Parts: sequence; C-alpha cells; structure tokens
Amino acid sequence: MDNGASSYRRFRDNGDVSGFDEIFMEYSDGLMLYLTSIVGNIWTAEELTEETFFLIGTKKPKFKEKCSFKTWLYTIGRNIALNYLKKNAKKPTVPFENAQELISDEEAAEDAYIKKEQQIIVYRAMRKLQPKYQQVLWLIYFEGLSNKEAAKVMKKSVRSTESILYRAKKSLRSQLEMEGVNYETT
Amino acid sequence: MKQREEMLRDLHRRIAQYEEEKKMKHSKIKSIFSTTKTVGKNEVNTPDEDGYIEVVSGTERIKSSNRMMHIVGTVAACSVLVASIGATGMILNKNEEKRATLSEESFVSTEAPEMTVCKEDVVSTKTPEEVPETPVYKSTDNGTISPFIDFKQIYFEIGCLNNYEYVEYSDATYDNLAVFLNNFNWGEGTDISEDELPDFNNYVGNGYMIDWRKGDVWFYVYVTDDGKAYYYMTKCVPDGNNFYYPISGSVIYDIDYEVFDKGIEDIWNNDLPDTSEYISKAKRMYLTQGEFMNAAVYDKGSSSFEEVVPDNDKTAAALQGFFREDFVGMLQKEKCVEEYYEIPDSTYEVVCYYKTSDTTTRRLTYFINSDGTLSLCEYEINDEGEIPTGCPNYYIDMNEFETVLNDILSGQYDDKYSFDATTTTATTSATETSTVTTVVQENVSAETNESTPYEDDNNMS
Repeated sequence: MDNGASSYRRFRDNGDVSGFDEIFMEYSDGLMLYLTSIVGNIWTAEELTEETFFLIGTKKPKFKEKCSFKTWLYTIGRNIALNYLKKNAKKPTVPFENAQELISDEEAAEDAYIKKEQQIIVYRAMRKLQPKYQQVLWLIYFEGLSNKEAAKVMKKSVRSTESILYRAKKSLRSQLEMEGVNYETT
Repeated sequence: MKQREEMLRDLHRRIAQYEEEKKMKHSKIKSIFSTTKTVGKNEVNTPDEDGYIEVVSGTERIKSSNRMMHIVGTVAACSVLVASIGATGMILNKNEEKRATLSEESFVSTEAPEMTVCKEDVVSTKTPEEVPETPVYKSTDNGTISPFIDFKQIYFEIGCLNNYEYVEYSDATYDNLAVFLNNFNWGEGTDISEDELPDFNNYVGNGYMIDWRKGDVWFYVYVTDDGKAYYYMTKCVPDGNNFYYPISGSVIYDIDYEVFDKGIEDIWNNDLPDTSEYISKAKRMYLTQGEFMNAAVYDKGSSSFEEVVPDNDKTAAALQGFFREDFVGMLQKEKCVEEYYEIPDSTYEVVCYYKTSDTTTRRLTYFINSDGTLSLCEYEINDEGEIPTGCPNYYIDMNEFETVLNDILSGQYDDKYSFDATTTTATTSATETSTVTTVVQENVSAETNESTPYEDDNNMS
C-alpha cells in the first residue's frame, strides 16, 4: 500500500471495498487520537473518525495528490471536528460520571496505537497541554508528518506551525519535568 | 468504545444504506422524468399508483401588458419605495438621538462600581419595536482608570486562574469588563520582589488572571481568593531559538475578593452571545494596536507572489488608507469550510506594520486563501529578533475584498482614503505623501526579504 493513495484509488475508481478497508485499518486509530487532541475526548473523536470515513466512503472525494494521503485525510478529519465543535460549542461532551470509563478507553486506544511505553508517557503528558500544542506534537512526532504537512492540516503557515511547535515542546518539557520524567531519555 | 472491526462493519452498513437511499432517490427522479417524457411524446396518460390520471388540460396564454401601464406601475412602486426608505431613515435618525441621550444617562456615577440593568424601555415615548428583547447590562463608570492601565484603551484578556479556555465575549460584555476593571477599588500598591510572587501555575484556590501586551512587554494581574492582586510585567528577550521572559517590577494590592469575584461573575453571567459574523470590536482593537506605519499587499501571479503597486501616488496612499482604516473591519470569524477535501491555495498576502513602542514594531501577515479562509501570523520585532505572538485564523469575503481592492487600484477611493492627519507619517500634500509612500514601500520590501513567511508558504503551494 503506497501510503493509502492507491488503496483509495482502487476503492474510488473501481469500487474495490478492500481498498476502503485497508485505509480504515491503517489510519483510523491515528486519526482518532489526533481528533482527540481537537475535541478533547476519545468518544467524540471516535464518532468523528467514523464520520470522516463515512464521508470518504459515500462522497468519494477526489484526492488530487497535492499532499500525502495522510495529510489529506487528516485535513478532512480536522474540518469535520471543527464543524462539530462549532455546532456543539455549549454542550458538555462527556457526563462527569463517565469520566473514568473515558480514561480507560483512551488508555486502551493509546496502547493499541502507540505501543512504546515511553511514547505513551509522552502522549499522556502531551494531553495535558493546550489543544493546539497537542495537535502539532501529535502530527509531527507521532504521525511523522513534516512541518509543512502539519501546517497544511492545521491550516497555518509553516512559520507559525514552527513557532507553535517550539512553544509546544517547551510546555511538554515543563509538563514532563513536573511529572518527574527525565525527558532527555524519553 | 467500539472495536475497529465493529466500527468498520457499522461503516459498511451505513455506506450501503446511503447507496440504497441514493439509488431510490435516483429511481424516483428517473420515473418522474420518464413519465413526463412519455406524456409529452405520445400524449398517452397512464394511471399512477392511486389510479388517478394527471392531465394537463390546456395552457394559459400570458398576455404582455400594456407598455404604458408597465412604466406607470414601475414609477409608482419606486416612489413608494423611496418614501419608505426616507421614512425609515428619519425614524432611525430620531432613535439614534434618543439612544445617545439614554446611554449618557445610564452612566450615573456612584462611589463603588456596581452592575446596573439598563433596560432601554424606561422612556415611554418609544414604540414596542424599538425595545430590545433582552436587558442590556452595564457596569457603572465613574470615570476612574485602574492603577495599571486604562482597560478601555487596550486589548486585554481575562479568565479564571489556571483555566486556559479562551472565551470570546460580546462587545457589550467586553466593555463592561473594561469599565469594571477600571473602576474597581484596587487600593494602594506595595512593591514586592519577584521571589514574593506566588507560583500561579500551581496555585491551589480560585482567582483570575488578566493580561495584556504592549510591544514586547507582557503585563499580568493575578487576583487570588485570599484578597490579593499581584501585578507584574515581563519583557521578552529573544535569544536564538529561545525566548526569555524575565520579570521586571511587581506590585501587590490588598483587595476585596468577594466584590471582584461577584462583579466579574455578574458580567459573565449576563454575557449575550455574539452572533455577528464579523470579528468583535475588541479583536479589531487588538489587530490595530499600535500606530499604523504601512502595509503591502501581494497577489499570487502565475507562480510567485508579487507586490501590488498602484499606478500613482494618490492611489498608493489610498491603498495605505484602506489597510489602516477598514481592512480589519472586513475580517470575519473563522469559518469551517464545507468542502472538506480541498486545501485552498493562498492567493493574497497582506503585511501590515504597526509601531508599538520606541523599540518595537509589530508585523501582521495575513495569508488569504482562495476560499476566503485567512491565517494571520503575528510577530513583534525588536532589536534582538522576532517574537511570535499569535497565529489566529479568520475568514474574509473574497468577492468583497477583491472588489474593494480593484476599486482602490482603479482610483475610485483616492479621495476617501487620503493618508493624512492622524498618523505621524501622514502628510497632507500629495507631493509629501508620495515621498512617504515610497519610503514605506522600500521598508516593506526590506522586511519581507529578510523574513521568510512568504517564502515558506510559496514553497508549500
């Protein structure tokens, strides 16, 4: 699979459902954790991930290959998440009594996707930062997107993405220090 | 939470259902068309499911009316329209005067700042249509200015301590907050050393944080529930890739926390949602903070961005005037684009410079995309380097922007935006203005060559 593009083409142009399944299996977990950094909880992020793939599966938008498939997919997911936030700005997303369940769900998703223990520690520290810091750190360090690609997903200039990244790293470092983690070895 | 396989199964089911519904919709439309076609061609009517036959028995011929009657009718309609516009204008003008009188009356000076409900139906001469549905809350202003700054003159942010959720208030709430902060009894301040400042990031308890910025200096007031207010400032010192914020000067005040807390909560609780599409007055104040120096607009040609240079000096001055006066007023709040799958290209870049202090200049670069989405990169520039200060997103009506820009370039706004009087760089004579503008253009080029935001984004697209 060439980063999802050919699978998507098979699905879109030839109606090959396995192409759709391949991109879902490859990108759904990462997208869900990325959307968690935008909407703040994993349940909503899960619904929005499903919505993203539903849109891909029904509207079958054309991927023009101006960027990587992942960047394109994450941009769609981000837009859906922002639309969701706009429509539900005042509604509480998770009832308080479900908070514990939510944490365990998120931990399960982290374990399934991130795998490495040290990275999970970093991810958990990262989740305590401002949403925009979480987003940029997730895209660049966990998803391996370049600064330019992350800037496209976040709809910011490369320069401003880099300045957010700088501040995000600084905050993450303080957060890790506060939690007693030696970040240099992490 | 669903397993991935379960989620995928659900997706397949939903997609299949969607396809099914789409097919049904298509077949319905198809059947309607095919029925129409058959009837039209063969003039044979077949009964539908209910056994009824839909027949078009004949067509009504529409006669064109008398030309003279047309003209008379149009003139009559126009005169009614003009009369109603005139009447509306008169009513509006009349009401404006009343409103002005009322708002002056509502600011009755009292000793302590307090909340007053100013329902604008106190005067019986008003008709019911003029009365707003919701009462408007106003803090009482006795004309005092806080010991820190005049909050009515600066863009500030206020929030609960250690709650970084950014809230955008309506203009009325923002004005109330400014008046309240100015009029609150802060008492006498006492200088303290930096070490005596509490660790606000880990403060246990309730409180508020108010902050604002002037150039490369950030100002903070922390109000804590033990009845203290701490005021300090930090000047940013860029050093390579690092930015240091050493504290310079800190003062403590003894305050009545309950009064402060109640005052702020009352204002917040009465915040009316800001439904305007355009950015708030406070945001506009923020974006135009400092003394406007100059602006440049870059248009994306076939491959790279090129500066838009007007034909003559007067038009060049008008372009500067537009960016100084009205451009920010065209900005709307960030919008989520409906087309999810397109990443738009940047089509214009606007760079505005403001002098924020003797040693600092503020550079705002607006990257305008073809779909109207707009990203702003803000930098404060001082002798040591560039300090990134924000990167918000907005929206602009591209049609409106391009129309105004083209009109300015064609000279239609030469008189409206004469670059004069209000700024230090301004001059009144056309010759002098041209000199200023030339210098300005040179400055812009120098700045843009040194810094890279354009280059970065050009590479991107």
